Amino acid sequence: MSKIWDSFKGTKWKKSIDVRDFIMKNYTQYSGDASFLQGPTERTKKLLAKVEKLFAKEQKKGVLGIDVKRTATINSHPAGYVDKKNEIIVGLQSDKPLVRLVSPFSGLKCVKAACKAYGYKLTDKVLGQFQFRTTHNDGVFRVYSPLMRKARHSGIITGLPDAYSRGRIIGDYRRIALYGVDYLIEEKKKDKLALYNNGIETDNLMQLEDVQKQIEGLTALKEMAKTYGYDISQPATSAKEAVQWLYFGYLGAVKEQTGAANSIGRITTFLDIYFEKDLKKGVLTESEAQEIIDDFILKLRMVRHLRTPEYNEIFAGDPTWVTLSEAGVTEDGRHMVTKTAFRVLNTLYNLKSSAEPNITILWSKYLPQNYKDFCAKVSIETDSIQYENDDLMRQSYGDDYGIACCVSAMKIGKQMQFFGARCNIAKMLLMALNGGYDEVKGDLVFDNLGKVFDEGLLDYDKVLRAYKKCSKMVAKLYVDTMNCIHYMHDKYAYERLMMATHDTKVGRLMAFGVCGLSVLADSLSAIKYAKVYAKKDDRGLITSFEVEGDYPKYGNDDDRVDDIAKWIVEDFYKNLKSTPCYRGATHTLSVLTITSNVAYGKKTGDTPDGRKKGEPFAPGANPMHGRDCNGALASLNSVSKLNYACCRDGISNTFSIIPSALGRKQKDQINNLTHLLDGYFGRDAQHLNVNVLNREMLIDAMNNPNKYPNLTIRVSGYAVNFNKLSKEQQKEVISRTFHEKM
Amino acid sequence: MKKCNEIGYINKIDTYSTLDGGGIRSVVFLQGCNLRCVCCHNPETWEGGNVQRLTAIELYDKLKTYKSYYGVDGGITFSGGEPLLQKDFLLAAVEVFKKNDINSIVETSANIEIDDTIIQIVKNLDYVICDLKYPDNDMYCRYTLGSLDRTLAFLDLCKGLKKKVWIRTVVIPDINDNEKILARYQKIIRKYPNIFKWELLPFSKLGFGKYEELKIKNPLKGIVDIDNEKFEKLQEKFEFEKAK
Repeated sequence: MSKIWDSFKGTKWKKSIDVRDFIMKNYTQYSGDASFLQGPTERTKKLLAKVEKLFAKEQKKGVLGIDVKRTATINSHPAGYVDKKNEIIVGLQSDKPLVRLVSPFSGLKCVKAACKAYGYKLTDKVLGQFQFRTTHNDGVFRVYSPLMRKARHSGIITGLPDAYSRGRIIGDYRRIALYGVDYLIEEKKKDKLALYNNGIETDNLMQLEDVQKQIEGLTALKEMAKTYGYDISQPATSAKEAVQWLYFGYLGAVKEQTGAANSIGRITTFLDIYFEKDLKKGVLTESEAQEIIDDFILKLRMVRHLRTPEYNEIFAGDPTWVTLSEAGVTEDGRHMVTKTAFRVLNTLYNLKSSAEPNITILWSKYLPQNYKDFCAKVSIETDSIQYENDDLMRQSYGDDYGIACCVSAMKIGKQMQFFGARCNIAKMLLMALNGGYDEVKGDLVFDNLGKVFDEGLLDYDKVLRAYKKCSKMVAKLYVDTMNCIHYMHDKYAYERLMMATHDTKVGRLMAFGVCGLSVLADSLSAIKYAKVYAKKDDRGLITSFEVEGDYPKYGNDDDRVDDIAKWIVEDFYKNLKSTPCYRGATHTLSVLTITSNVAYGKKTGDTPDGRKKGEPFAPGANPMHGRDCNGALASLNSVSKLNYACCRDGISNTFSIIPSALGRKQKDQINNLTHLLDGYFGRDAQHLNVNVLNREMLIDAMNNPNKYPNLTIRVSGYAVNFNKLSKEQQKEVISRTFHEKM
Repeated sequence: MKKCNEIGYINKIDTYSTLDGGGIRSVVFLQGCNLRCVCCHNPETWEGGNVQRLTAIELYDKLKTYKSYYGVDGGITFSGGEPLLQKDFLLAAVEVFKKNDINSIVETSANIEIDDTIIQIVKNLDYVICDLKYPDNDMYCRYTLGSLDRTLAFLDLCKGLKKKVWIRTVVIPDINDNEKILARYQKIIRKYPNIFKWELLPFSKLGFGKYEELKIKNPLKGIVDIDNEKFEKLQEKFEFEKAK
């Protein structure tokens, strides 16, 4: 077929779509150090300065602009540039940089509210387009049951993607570079024809329509690329083209889909094949290679979505989670580190520290030490990257998976996810004690849970029985609710382009979540090992607790409570699994809060662990602030005991440490951080966010934001510019446990 | 293994430290000390108080789970208090860890009687961190209840056993924060080829709160922190590290 294919090894990938096979046959391992890396060119510096000015302007105004005149689709907007003649990789969502698009397919209400919040109003043209069109949000609320509405209102299940786009899908944009769009369209056409053999019935009709939408998406993408002067119908023939083709795919997807966490996937080993080829041919220098990557990463940093202020409250800092996964090991034991993996990390120096893309290192004990050391150095100096355990995830997802959002693994191009936010399990305990009443709002949510508990000493067995009953009810309701949401999302806001880069016969994961794990584990531990007295308020609901005596706290490597935490997630997962998922999806579960631990804490009353109403939860699977007091390793060990087999959507742990506690000299700090990661992941833990910084610096940054324009910190599963957090969130971050040793 | 039923009195276990020896280490603070140094950071380890009582095996069971973090450099640090005061327990402990491929070091002021047990302990260590508090007996007596002679005898023992030693010295304002005094330490250190590292630690008031909490008279109350620049100059002039 294509001439460029002749220069690459392997045959399997040439016969049908198989990006993994292409990578395995062609990539070049790199085990050396970072000394080959090049700094930014004059061009890059100039372009960066321009973009930084735009960022500063945006930070002041909230948004730089909203295009309220057009409904965004793949090719709705003319080509846009920051500085046309100086850009190597081109393409912006709108015709102007950082201008946000309106894409009301998932929900008109949210778009209207977001426009209003920033002083904009949708034009009659856009409103007219949606006057007779059902959005995903409309669809969901047509079918929500009264109980679902009540549960949603109470916040027991919360953050649901029922009014906005679901996100967390990773398109395999590498396919566009490797095969060209025409080939992908032909394959989809073949798939569609084959589908007719399955009969004309509901499921298959749905699938048929999906594939047709995918073909339309690919066709629109070709048109979009043309407006930039590129014909992407054929495979990319150079490193620059490979990056450009891949980026066009991503860009087309995020023009139309505003979902949280549209991730870019696992791309560095793939792209490196093209870079190696051009470098070997002598048509590219290292500095030029870095320049292409720098330009590409800068574009990823400019992706924007229109969000409501309520959304920002939950997901602080305007994140887009352009999660980029790299490194890892092949199933036959070869590490997958390439020079391009280094080049991507190097952008954190060339373009300064940044929250996006969300660089995720797939860590394995088999990664070359030079690369491990460089990652540790980047962590210590920028706080911008996160680590996930490849040796663990590879067992379930093979060697061509990527991370979406923060900790969600999926096989690239072969699996997609139905994102499902989370259930507030700390609140679930309070609901169990209160016979189905919401302890904050006072409403009755579940009317068949039994009586409100009596005042006085709480009996552990009795509490546990009530909790189990409540957990079963909530789990069933949660799955049912998710099924409504994703049926309607597929129907009214289908991700046609993202799904066009997936296999037609795609695996589906339905990702549930829990928040408040450490609060619940400590609460149950308090009831079991100390004496907890419940007290009622004037509504007759239990809203405060008195704790007498001490109890084992999660985060101290104490099995008495760690086993409770482990049991909580296993039990909830088991309960979820007893209700089947829409479209045959597999249930998965995450322990992840993002920054919502602050918002969820606000909506939860006093808890039996001594936490007061409104106080933030710990993020993700972290122990509660200040309760882990046996040192950092004990804290890590507690989290590592949670069972990944029932948390296949990830277990997030954010680790903050002051620089001097990592060692006196940078050489020691690097060495110790790599050992810490090896040790933690050696215990089958899944994820670690690493922050190496001083609390004093954060306090100074809170008071003098202008001094720290690039201060990036890791929160649960992603990085964020510290200045973009609300005061409340900043304070919560500062109050977290910083591991220090005097 | 001898005396494995010996009970250790442990003030605290910190699972994670990178400052008490090389690599990632868990630090076991043993209870009890005989020196009463004026600059002490951990007066809570002097006597009495809330201690955990563990046998060597129990201690090993508590810490073995952290082996995966230690790497080749890290391991267990026995600190205190004065760890060598609980020598029977300590010997049993270092033997258990050694048997299970976890290395141990001891952080000591070495103001103890040397006997067979102490010799066996030293033999089982990866290396020793030894506080060289003051360069002569006069100063030693003024600021502690111990003597330099005992520390030197211990250093002689290590030299004889070819055991590597890392020396630590706390630099305290107005007591030993000048080049003239530190040169006298240097003279001692140069006599020991087995000393591979000399580290200066700036005196810090971080432990002051503990004195008030414990209602112990703090002899250095009112002292100012050491000037950073001055301290760095001393570090530059005196600190060294050779390959082990």
